[in-house]
Amino acid sequence: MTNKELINNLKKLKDVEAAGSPALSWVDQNRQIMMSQINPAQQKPVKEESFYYFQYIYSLFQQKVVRPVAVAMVVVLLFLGYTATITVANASLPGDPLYPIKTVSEKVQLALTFSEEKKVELQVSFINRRVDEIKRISLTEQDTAQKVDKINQVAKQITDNTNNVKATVSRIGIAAEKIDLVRSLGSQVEEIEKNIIEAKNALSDEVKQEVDQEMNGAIASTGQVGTATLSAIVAKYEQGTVEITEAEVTNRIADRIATLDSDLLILQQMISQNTTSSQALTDAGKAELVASSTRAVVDQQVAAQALLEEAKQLLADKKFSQVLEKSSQAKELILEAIKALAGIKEIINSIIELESGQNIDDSGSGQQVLGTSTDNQVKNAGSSSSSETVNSNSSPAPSGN
Amino acid sequence: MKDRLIKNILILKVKNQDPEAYGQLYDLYVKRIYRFIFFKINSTAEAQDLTSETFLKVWQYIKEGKDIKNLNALIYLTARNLVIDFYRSKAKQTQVDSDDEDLKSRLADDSQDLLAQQEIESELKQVLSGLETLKDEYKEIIILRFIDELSISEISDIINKSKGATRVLLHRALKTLKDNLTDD
Repeated sequence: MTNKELINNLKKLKDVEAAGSPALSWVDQNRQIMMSQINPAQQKPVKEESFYYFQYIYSLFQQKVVRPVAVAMVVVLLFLGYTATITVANASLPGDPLYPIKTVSEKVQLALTFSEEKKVELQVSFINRRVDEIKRISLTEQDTAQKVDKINQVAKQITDNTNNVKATVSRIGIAAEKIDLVRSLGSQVEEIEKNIIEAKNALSDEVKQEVDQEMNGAIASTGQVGTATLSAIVAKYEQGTVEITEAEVTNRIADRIATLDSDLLILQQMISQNTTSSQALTDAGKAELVASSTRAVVDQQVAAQALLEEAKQLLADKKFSQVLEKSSQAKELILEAIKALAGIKEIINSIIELESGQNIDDSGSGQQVLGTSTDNQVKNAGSSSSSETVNSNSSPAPSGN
Repeated sequence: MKDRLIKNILILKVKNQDPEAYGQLYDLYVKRIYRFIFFKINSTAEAQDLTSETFLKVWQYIKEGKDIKNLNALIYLTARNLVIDFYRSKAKQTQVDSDDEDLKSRLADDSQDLLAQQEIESELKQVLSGLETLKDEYKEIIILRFIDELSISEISDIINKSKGATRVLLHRALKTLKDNLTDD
């Protein structure tokens, strides 16, 4: 018996009593018994037939028309609302009434963008907006505390946004067809990193001290995106799966090394400035602590220099992956050194301020307490620098494989 | 489309506790529910009792004003639970209603010619015997699908499985029945 025949036979059983079809007499009798129990007074229905038709049509309308239309209307209204306020909101800064609209509309734009390429382009454009906001806050905000808060807030957003972009690059970097996007991203984030550094350098020392951590975080995370894009390009080149020339890879890596060379020069200048400043310290003990911490930073600078020299040699030998590894390690060292120097500079300024105050004020007990805490700050700045030097085996950014 | 509209209106009326509508619902479901129960307990008398009890219990549920998302599933599940209770409370003594004598006497009531009756009889006998050898789960799903002609979606609600699992179960049940019939 085939399946079809079997199924046909089964269907034939429908009205056969032996196959469980009830006796018609019982069906009728049972119905009467049941009706006498559920409707003993034999009451007629209260509602008219038309009521049920209306109810059914209404439920269909609710399911098939109202809900989809409501969703569509929300999207349209959001879109209309977005276009109506965006021009004004775009110009707003943190603390302005329209700023939340600006950030929410950015999130809506991202949510409504389904292409990964477009999404990343949007994210990069939003990061550029954040950098622009830092520059404008620096120029327009008069209150220092407010300036610091706002810049920190925006710098944190840059870090978060660049982390998202980095995650996307790591994900799409493995796809051969996305290589053009990766290339373009690499150039854009390099530009962003420069702009953030520029924005930070334009800040007053007082503000710079307070926003240093967040700004350095933003710079570091942007740099990591650059590293991720470069790693993806090198990986694709070494796999030979897409058309990337040796010249392109060499030029990109050479540019990166050149940037690190510039960073090293800046670091050297900062060390010189710190050394000059520390010469104003009158307390020999504190001066020695500052000098020792600065020596630790110098060690980091020397180590970074050596790594860059190795990277240049590897570049000449066309060992691109190894070049990336060395240059990433150099960059990590430079960033840590700059961070440590900023801490030492702050302490030097504090000591100088204290020493200036000591000359005027002759009370002893307060000085000792303050002195002790300052000594510890110097020691901690120095010891943290040393530990950074020892633990400099930072692994390079993922190559995107 | 018209039948679906009428059925949906009927369900709306039933949910609004309209007794006459419930009577019409009974007309639609009684044979299926009876068959569903009959194949599980193989006793005409008990199947009749449990079928009556099923419809009364469902009406009680409706009168309590509880939310009913799927009336079809509710009726079958009530029947199922009553069968489970039956097995728990009584020592089961199955009566095989599909033995030769009963089958012949019942088919004799049909108005078809003798040759046709013999043909149906032999096919039915074979298929019924095959059904009897199946485990409950397989028997149930074959009846629901091919005799009651419920959709996979409706069956999945009754037996509380996903649609995919329901299809797999149905496929296995049919295969097992076919294998049993082939062995015979």
